[in-house]
Amino acid sequence: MIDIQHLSFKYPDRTQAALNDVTLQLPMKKWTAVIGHNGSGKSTLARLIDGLLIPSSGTIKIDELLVDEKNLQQLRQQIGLVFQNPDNQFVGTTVADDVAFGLENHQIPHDQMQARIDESLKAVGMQDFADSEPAMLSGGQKQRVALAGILAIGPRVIILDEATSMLDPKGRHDLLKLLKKLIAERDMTVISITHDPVELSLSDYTVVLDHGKVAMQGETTTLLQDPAKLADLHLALPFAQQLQLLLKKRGINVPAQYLDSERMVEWLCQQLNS
Amino acid sequence: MGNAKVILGAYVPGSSWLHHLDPRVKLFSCFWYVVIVFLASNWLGYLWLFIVLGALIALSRLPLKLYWRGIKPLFWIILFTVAIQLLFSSGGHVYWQWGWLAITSGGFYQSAIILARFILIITISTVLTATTPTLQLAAAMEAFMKPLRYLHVPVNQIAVMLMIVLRFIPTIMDETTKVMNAQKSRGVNFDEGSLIERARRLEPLLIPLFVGSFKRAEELATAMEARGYDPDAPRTKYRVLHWHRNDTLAMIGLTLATIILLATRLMSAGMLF
Repeated sequence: MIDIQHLSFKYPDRTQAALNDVTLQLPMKKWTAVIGHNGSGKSTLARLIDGLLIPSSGTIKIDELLVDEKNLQQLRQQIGLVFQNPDNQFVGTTVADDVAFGLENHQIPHDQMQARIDESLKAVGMQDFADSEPAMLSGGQKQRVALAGILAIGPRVIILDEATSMLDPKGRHDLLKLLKKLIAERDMTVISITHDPVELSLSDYTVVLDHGKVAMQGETTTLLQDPAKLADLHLALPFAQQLQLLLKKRGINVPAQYLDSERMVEWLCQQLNS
Repeated sequence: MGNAKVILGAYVPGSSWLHHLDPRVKLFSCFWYVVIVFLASNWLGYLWLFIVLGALIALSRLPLKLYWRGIKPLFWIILFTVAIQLLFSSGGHVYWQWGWLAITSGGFYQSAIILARFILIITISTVLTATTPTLQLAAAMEAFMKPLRYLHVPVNQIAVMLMIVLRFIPTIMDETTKVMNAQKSRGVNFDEGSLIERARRLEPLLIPLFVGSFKRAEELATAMEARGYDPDAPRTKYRVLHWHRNDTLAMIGLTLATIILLATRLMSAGMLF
């Protein structure tokens, strides 16, 4: 469990706190979506969990590991972060060098490197690009390389900080599909900071942040049962929930439980046939 | 991406004997060759240097045209220097004189030496850069910098810096093109006007690039930190250079070439044969 207690953080050049007394328990081996407006403190939360920022007050524990300056190296081994801009997290001059960058930092012996690089590039389907330069890759491919760099270290937690927001729809779809598969295979925990309704609907658990506070949290299916509340916070909803809201507005009685798009189609067909 | 090829793009992929040599051997040999160019003292020495260079070009299995392309951009500088030597050097038989300008046999001799040195040095550098990928050259430089560690030079950090420079040149080039197009679409004309006017027009190009680079640097620093980079911590290495038998052979060849060159010096001094 990722246990966050009374976490507050203020950027030195701002008057308002980015996070204000946030207390959260995020489940391990699950996919958690963190949603909210720009400036709601989502990305700050991600950086605090990875120890990239030091909280003004409060504590974060990943299982028993306290997020603290003393544990940084261990922490970085357990948490991988994929950032928004595919270009600004690609360090190596080739794909293989980029994956190796993390291994070198964690002082993995040279004789293990090649196997780890091959294995993780294969896991993300980039094995044929090992010698390619970043300029030859698309945004989606670069994000997959970033993911490979993280997989090579073998962390328990992956944080996606709007990792799909700069990709085209196809790149985004492919990356999410790949993530879903990898997470199932490797029993990993995912925290995805996102605006993307599709990413939201993929998650098991959702946290809604608003002005540095937790506005809502719970199982995603439970939260999506009441899409009106999310819509009040001006958050983008998955297509099925948008439809649900619009139908309600027209006075059509939609079941109050959560419907994913497949079940929505089923329900609609039923209604149209009867 | 295309632009980067022009700047760093001296490398021509191939599988020749030279391509497979250790980059440390190649970098050192190139440096050494430049040193011994200045040790040649007579035409025999230069002849020998040209023979060695010819052999290396043959070993690189790259077309001669490529080496000519190395010299071409410097053509005017070479011509200018040779002309200066020709007109201002004195000594020997005077063929032509006008005021303090003179063409003498000494001048001919001096300018021939300058020309030979230019060609040798430029071409040997082309042999190096054409057969060695930039990344390997960087690795070789890092290897040579290693002893500086004892003088507290942060060699590891310099190596990472070098890698980032190589990595981001194409990206920044791309961005330059984008900003230029954006400004052109707003009516900035980069190609017309006096030199000063044109220089002033670079302002709307440089400021966005500068700001963008800082933003990039900040994000990159965060990403590197998240991936466990600590500038002061020891790191293992992915790219390890291996010394092969051919590298030893190359070093022996270099030694022999140097000995023969020194022999040509002695010959001119009449100490040999």
